[in-house]
Amino acid sequence: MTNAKDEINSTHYIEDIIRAKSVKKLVFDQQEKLINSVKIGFKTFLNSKKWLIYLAFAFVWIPVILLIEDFDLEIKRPDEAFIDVMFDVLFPVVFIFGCLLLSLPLSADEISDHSIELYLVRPIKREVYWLSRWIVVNVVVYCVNIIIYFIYYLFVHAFAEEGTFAGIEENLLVFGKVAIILLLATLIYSGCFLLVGMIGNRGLLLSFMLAIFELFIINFFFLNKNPYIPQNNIYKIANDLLPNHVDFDTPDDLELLNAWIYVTIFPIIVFFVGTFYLRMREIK
Amino acid sequence: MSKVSNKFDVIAKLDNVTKSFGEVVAVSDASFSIERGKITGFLGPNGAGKTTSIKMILGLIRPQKGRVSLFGENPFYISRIKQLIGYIPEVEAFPKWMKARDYLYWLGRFQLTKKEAIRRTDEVLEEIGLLDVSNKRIKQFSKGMKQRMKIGQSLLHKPVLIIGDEPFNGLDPVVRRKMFDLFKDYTRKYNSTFFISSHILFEIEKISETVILMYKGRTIAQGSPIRIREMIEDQPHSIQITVRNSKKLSTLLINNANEEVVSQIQFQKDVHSNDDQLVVLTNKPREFYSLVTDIVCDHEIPIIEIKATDEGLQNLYKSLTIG
Repeated sequence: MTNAKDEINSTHYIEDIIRAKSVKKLVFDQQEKLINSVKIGFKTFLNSKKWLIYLAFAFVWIPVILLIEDFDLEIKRPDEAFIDVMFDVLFPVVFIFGCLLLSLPLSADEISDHSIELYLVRPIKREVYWLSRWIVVNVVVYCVNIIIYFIYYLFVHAFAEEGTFAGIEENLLVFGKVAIILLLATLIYSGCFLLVGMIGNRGLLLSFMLAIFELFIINFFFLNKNPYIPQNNIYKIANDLLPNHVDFDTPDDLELLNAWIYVTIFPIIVFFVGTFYLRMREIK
Repeated sequence: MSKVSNKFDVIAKLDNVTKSFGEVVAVSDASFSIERGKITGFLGPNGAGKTTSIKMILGLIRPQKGRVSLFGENPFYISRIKQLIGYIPEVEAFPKWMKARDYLYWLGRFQLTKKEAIRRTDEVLEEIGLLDVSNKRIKQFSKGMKQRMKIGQSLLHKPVLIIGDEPFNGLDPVVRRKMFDLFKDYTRKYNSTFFISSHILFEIEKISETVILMYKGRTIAQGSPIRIREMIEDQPHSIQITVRNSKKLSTLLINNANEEVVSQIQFQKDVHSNDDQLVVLTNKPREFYSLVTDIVCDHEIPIIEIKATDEGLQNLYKSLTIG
C-alpha cells in the first residue's frame, strides 16, 4: 500500500513490491482482491437488470396458466404439480436461458464495455479474477432460481384442492430435493455459460448456440442417450432422489454412482478450463 | 547512484518485439524503453501500433517475437508488478451502471485499503475537477468528463508508471492544460513516470521530455521534442493555395524564389468551388510564407485560402522509414 510521501515510488518501494513475498502474504493479498472482485461482480450483476428480464421470463407462465384454467386450478397433488412445472418448463427451458442471461453481465458484457481491461491491469491474478466471476455466477444463478422455484412452490400450493397452502410443510422435503438438483445443474451450466461468454465479442452468439444446443439439438439426435451429456446425469440423479415423482428415460449404461461422479467432476473441469483459458487469453 | 537505483532507471522495455493479428502486422521488430521519472511521449499516426505496444507493456497481450519487460518482469504473467502501474485506456471502459465515486473507489480497492481508497477517491475527484458530480452515473457524463474519469482511475494509487493511450482525446484546451499540469505535479511530487501516446505532435511536445516515434509498427526515432520538431521542419512542406489567378502567382513564385523555397509546383482545381489551386512543395516554409505575403501585396493577387496540407509529420515518418 502507499507509503509516506517521500517513500512513494522510491526504489525501495518498487523493490518491496517486486521482490518475491512469502506465499502466505501473496495468498492473503490475492484473497483481498478476490473479495473486492466478488463484490464488484455482485454489484455488476445487480445493476445489469438482466435478472429482471429473467424473472419476467420465469414468471410469465403463472398468468398464462391462470388464464388457461380461468383462475380455477384446484390442484389435487401440489407436490406433483410442482415437479411437473419444474421438469417440464422451468428446468429444461427457463433455467438454460437463465444461465445465459445471468452470466452475460460478468462475461461478454465486461469484455464489450472494456471494464475487463481495467481489472486485469490491476494486481489481481487472472485466475483469481476468473474465480471471482465463477463464484458470483454460481451464487446468483442458484439464488435467483431458488427464489423462482420457491414462488412456484407457493403458487401450486396456493391453489391446492384441499385448501390454500395445504400440504406446504409436508412437501418441503420434495422442495429440498429439487434444491439439490438445482444446485448440481447450477454448478454444471453456469460455469459453462460463463466460460463461453468470455470468448470475446462472439461470446453472446456462442452462448445462444450453447443454449439452443442444450434445449433442442441433443433431444433430436443420438445424444439424448449419451451418458456424457450433463442433462442425462442430472435426470439419473433426479430419478434416484424423487422416485415417486419422476421417471426419466436415461441411458441404460449410466450408473447412479457414475452420474454423481460426473456432476461433481464436470464443474471442476470447466473451472480449470476457464482458468487456463483466461491465463492464456489476450485482451486485444 | 546506487546499484539498486540503476536497476529501475529503465522501468519498461521492448526488445525487438513483433506482434501480428492474423495477416496484419501491428508491431514489427520494435524496440524502445521508458525511463523512470520522465514524461515520455509516444507519437505516431493512427494504426501505427501504439495501442498494441501499450497492451504488451501492460501484459494484456503477448508478443510473438522479442521480449517485453516491466520492472524487469514479464507483465503477462506477473500480476504483482501491476501494483506499480496505472493505465488510461483509449476506449471508454466503464460499467454502465457505475457512479463516478463508486467507479474510483472500487477500482482503487484493488491497490488500497478501504480507508485509503475513500480518501484517495475524494482527492482524485478534486484533482480532475469532478467532485461536484461524483454521485452521478458516468454514462450521463460528457466525453471530456469521461476522459477525466479515465485519467483519475489511473492516478488513484499514485503509481510509479502511468501509461496513457491517447489520454487527452476529447478534452477542451483549458482542461487539457489542467491535465498537463496534473501529470507534471505527479512527476514532481510522487516521482511518477508517464508514457503518453498520441497522434498529435502539439500535445506531445507540450508535455514530454522524450518522444518515441512509431510508424507502421516500427519505432523510427527517439529524442527530445525539440529535436523531433526540428526533424519535422527539415522535411519538405506541402502548402496549398487557392487563388483566382494561379498562373500569374506561380510565375512570380518561380521567378522570385530559389529551389529550396519552391521545390515543386502543381496545378489543380478545388473539388467544391472549382477554383484554381497551387500545391507548392517547400523546404523553407517560413521563407516561403514571407515570399508569398510580399508577392500578393505587391501584385495585388487575391488569395482565397492558404493552408499546409500536413504538419510535416507524414513526411518525417516517410523519410525516416524509407531511409
